[in-house]
Amino acid sequence: MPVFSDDLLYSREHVWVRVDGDFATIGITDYAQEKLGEVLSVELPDIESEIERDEPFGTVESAEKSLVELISPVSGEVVNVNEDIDDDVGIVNSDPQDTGWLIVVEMKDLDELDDLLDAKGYHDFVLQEGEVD
Amino acid sequence: MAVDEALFRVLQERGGPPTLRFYGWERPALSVGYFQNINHGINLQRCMQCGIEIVRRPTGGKAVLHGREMTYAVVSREESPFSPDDLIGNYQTICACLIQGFAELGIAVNMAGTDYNKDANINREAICFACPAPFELLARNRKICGSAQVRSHGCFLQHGSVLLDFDAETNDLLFSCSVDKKSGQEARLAARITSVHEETRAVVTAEMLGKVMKRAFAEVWSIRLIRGKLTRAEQTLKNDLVRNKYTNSLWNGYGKTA
Repeated sequence: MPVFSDDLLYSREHVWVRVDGDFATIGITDYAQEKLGEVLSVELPDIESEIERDEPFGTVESAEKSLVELISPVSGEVVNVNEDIDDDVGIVNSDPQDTGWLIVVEMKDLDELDDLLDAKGYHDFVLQEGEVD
Repeated sequence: MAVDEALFRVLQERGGPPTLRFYGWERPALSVGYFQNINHGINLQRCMQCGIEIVRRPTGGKAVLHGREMTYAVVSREESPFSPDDLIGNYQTICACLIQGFAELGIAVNMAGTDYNKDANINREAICFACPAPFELLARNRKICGSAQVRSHGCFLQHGSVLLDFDAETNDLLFSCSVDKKSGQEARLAARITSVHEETRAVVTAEMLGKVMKRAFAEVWSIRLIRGKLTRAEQTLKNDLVRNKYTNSLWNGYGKTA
């Protein structure tokens, strides 16, 4: 049963956001990591690169040989990248919504957050996909 | 590769019907997975000597030698009338069509289970066919078809390769780490990998296999296949991808376009 944390916002592309002022920490949802299976590789943008909402910012490959493009929920400049993933990619599966975070973005437009879902909204959204009790 | 990616990107942006492609390669080539490090387990010097070019796929997985095989591509929205909208569902629905096609050729094929090769470190293998992932297709417990996907914006592209013949010796040479010698994995590869020819003992060409598989997809999904051509948007994007990505040594070598 995936975890839906109340302190996070969620995109319909299965990415979570933790907001701290103008900064957004971003990762894949627990639901997404369950669907993906064992993550083998993660590609993330460089620090200081610009990312755009609704555009891919990275890629994840699972043991099922499926590559998933990570779609950014916000626009802005990447100010931090989780280097712990280089040492242990397993944290994306084991702790996707905390130590398995992916990037921190300095947001350009806080209004973009209005399109994101809260935990209940995201739970209802994935319910429609028929995989969650 | 460029055609497949163009179909995938334009479907994301503009929608449209799913596409099924079967194709061969003008010259033998090695396609490598999106994340694959070509400096690990691939004899680049031998590839160059044999005139085998390397192209990086937009999909996952490991290296495939395209020569005596048939490549397929399915481009679709994740949710379609033929498939549940998840990764495994998409794999299984496509595999069901391929299994029917193999059956028509008299080859009994089954899907590898989720525990298959769980203990093997798939990531360390350079050759796609050396290590089946869950849901890949096996004939007599040996891999006959390898597949991999990329998913984005609710759409997916699945690539796969069906072996018409398997040349263990050439694969051994291309995937040996030593410049001059073979890697000694020829017997191991031959024990793990089979082909349409080995299973049928008949001459089956890529064209024949393509026709069989097309019929199987149409039957299993109860659809009528319509021959199509690239739209203007797909053609333009394909040309751009050929120019800037799939003939770019940075992309093919290192997965970067700039």
